Amino acid sequence: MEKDKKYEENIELIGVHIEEGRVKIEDILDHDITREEIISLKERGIITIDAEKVHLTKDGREMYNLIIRRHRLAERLLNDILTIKDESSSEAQACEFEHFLNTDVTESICTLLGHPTTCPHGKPIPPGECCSTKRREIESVVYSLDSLDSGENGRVAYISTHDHSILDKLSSMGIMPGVSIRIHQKQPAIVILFEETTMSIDFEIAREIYVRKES
Amino acid sequence: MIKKRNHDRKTNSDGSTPSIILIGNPNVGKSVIFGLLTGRYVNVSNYPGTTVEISRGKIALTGKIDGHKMKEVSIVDSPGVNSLIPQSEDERVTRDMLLREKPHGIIQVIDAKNLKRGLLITLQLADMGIPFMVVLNIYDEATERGIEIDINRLSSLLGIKVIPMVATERRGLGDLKKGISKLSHLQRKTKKITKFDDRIEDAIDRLAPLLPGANISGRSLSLMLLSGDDHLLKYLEDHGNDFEIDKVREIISKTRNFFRDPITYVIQKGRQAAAGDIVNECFHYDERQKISSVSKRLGDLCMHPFWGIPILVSVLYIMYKFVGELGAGKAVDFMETVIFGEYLNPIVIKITETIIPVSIIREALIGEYGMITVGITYSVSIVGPIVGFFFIFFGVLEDSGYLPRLTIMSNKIFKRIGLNGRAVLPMVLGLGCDTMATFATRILDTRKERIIATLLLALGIPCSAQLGVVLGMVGGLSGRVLLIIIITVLLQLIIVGYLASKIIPGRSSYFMIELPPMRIPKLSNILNKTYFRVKWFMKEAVPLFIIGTFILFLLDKSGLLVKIEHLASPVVTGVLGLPARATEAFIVGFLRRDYGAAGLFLLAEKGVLDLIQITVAISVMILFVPCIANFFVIIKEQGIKRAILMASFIMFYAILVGGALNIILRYIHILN
Repeated sequence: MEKDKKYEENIELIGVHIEEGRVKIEDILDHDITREEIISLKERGIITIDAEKVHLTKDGREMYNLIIRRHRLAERLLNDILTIKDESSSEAQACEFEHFLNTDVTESICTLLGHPTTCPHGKPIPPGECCSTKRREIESVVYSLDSLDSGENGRVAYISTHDHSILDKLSSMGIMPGVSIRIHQKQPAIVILFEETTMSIDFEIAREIYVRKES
Repeated sequence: MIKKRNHDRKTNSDGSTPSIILIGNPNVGKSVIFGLLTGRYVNVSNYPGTTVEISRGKIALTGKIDGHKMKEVSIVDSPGVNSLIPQSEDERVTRDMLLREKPHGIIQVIDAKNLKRGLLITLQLADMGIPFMVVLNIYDEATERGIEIDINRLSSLLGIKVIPMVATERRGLGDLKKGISKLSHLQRKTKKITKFDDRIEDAIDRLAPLLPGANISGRSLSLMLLSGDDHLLKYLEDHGNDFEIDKVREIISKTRNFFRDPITYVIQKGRQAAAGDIVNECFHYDERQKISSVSKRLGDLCMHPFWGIPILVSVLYIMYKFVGELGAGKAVDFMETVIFGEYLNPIVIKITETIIPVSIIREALIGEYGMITVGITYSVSIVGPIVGFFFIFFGVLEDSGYLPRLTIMSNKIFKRIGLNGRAVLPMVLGLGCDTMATFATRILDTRKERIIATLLLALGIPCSAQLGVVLGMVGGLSGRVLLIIIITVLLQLIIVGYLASKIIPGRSSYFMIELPPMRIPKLSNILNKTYFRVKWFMKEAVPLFIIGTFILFLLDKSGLLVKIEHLASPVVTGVLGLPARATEAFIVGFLRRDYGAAGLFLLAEKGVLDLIQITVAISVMILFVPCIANFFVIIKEQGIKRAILMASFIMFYAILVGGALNIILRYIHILN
């Protein structure tokens, strides 16, 4: 178990480095990983090393996506639902969390959170099977605004967008956590009502606003 | 009737005229209030270095108030914004005006029913320290919705004057004028209403002493810098001595790194909380009064997935009747044949013939391609009325609140071609005049969207002048011909739009639009707006039409026109299957698309063209290179390189489609 944990953490470490564009071995070695461990990942077919640069193999990429998905979902859960705001403790918790989540539990959390697309830091959460099928076996706590039906109300829990300009636009219009939004119609475009404002927004934006349903 | 007055472009602080800036969210009636205050003495111009238009005017306040003798105050209308931290060009202009114009005071206009959103700006103004007051406009709509606002409480919470108003009915105007005269005597004072997160307050305390003095308080400047306003940083660096930019940068980045959310969001959250507290204290909302009014029901129908479509079709039909038949038909007829044909041009021709002896100059002015008899006559007597009628109609759509609902109905289609619903505005304008519509592509957010919209306008949106002739010509023939033409053109718009959205680099913006309630438009407001728009359009477009005519005159005189006709005629006869004489119609169509259509009309009347040839010719004519004025505007907006690229593509593509249409029609025997 302990060994597996380290193994997963190493994949995660390398994956995050690659995601950020730092692919040289020396960049990665600065962290809590030894050259031997990197070599062993190579032998297990997780990575390839080409001129001191590390790349994930197809298998490695899949492994990494699973691990990072668990990690970032855990962050969302801790941050948005359990509202643990302390950065260092929630980060550490998320690290512990990711190792004992099996696929079913991961999918349940993902569904519970309304299939979020980014972590609280704005990094992408790779979609799992539950995100594409959108199975509704488990009742979500938080829904993305576009999944509400016409006439339903939701109070904004958080806005998860990679694009700061959208966040700024929404917040200057008055759409912020705590604001109650009603879906007026969904076709031909989403029209929402909040306070005394009627507004139309793209599905892509509605997808990034997460709400708790209200009656 | 309408007096022109020259005003200083700059409203300076040291001069004798105090200046006041109008600020507010979009759709709160700022321009109406501006109009009420200034009357017609207005100067509309682009803000330096931008495409954003701002209006300046003056008011004379007469009499004595509180012992002060009143004098002139100059007023500047700023673009509507939701925040003073610049995210869009409009917002940057507004922020720049506060910084550079050094206003004596600010009037913030708030839509009373949306008090909270307005307060988000009020709180930013309070931090700035410039004396200001708040107008709660459209107060009647708020009352109708069961909203009560405790004005006195609001006023004391904010520490400023608050005036309820219904600008369209001039209610509250007297109080506003009184307020303005007092405003220009107030002292600057920062009102610290919002309490931000400790980390941010701390950063403000450390930043403010490092910043050079400006028209805006250090507290406010610090908040803008923390929000990542790099333009401002540059401005401060240029304007302050010993400005320790590195130290400032360090504080900013340290503070920003502390938060896991973007710092703009953290700051905005602080303001949201403060605004929420104020609203809780003075904003009362009686749910029982919330009735489903006619206006609301109509508004809902206009964007209904089903009922919205017949309404859309009716609106377009009425537009065709009003702009196409009344404007492009009757009004143009009157202007062209009576005013210009019978009175103006004969006089001008006579005068020119007597005072100008050189025949070549005479011809350049009043000949077949004369700058006066064709260039000016065309732009004033044909384009003028069409544009005027169009703007009246457009103004009604705008002021009634239908326009944003129209963007909803069309968002889906436009999304497919790399645009979003907002693009419907220039497209609808294009049915009036493509030249004008190309200017209007400025309202689109990204460069990519502006390129696509400009291309599509030039390619397949027939202007009203052309539509009139085409419909007249085809109407008598066969419904099928019209149908084939419409399908052909629409198909090209979709294909080219789709491909362009894939090929052109850059990104499209997201669709986000506020829907104001449906209102009955005020005629005076619409006429006022139309007047300024037509004036603006004429100023921009008439010179282009004159230059265009002159170029054609040169081509004709130098014999190049005939040469081009010779060169082009194999394409016209070979690829399109049209008689050689149609070539002239196409080339002249570049100057005036409707002339081209009329040229084809004559050929058809003489029985030279069969149905297939008419269909092909008109389709190509619509798709073909836009008129020369349009081409100039494309150069102006997109640069010469892109303009030539677009024009060449369109020319090639129009012929390609025409050729294909010719082959298909001959093969499938629908028309023969």
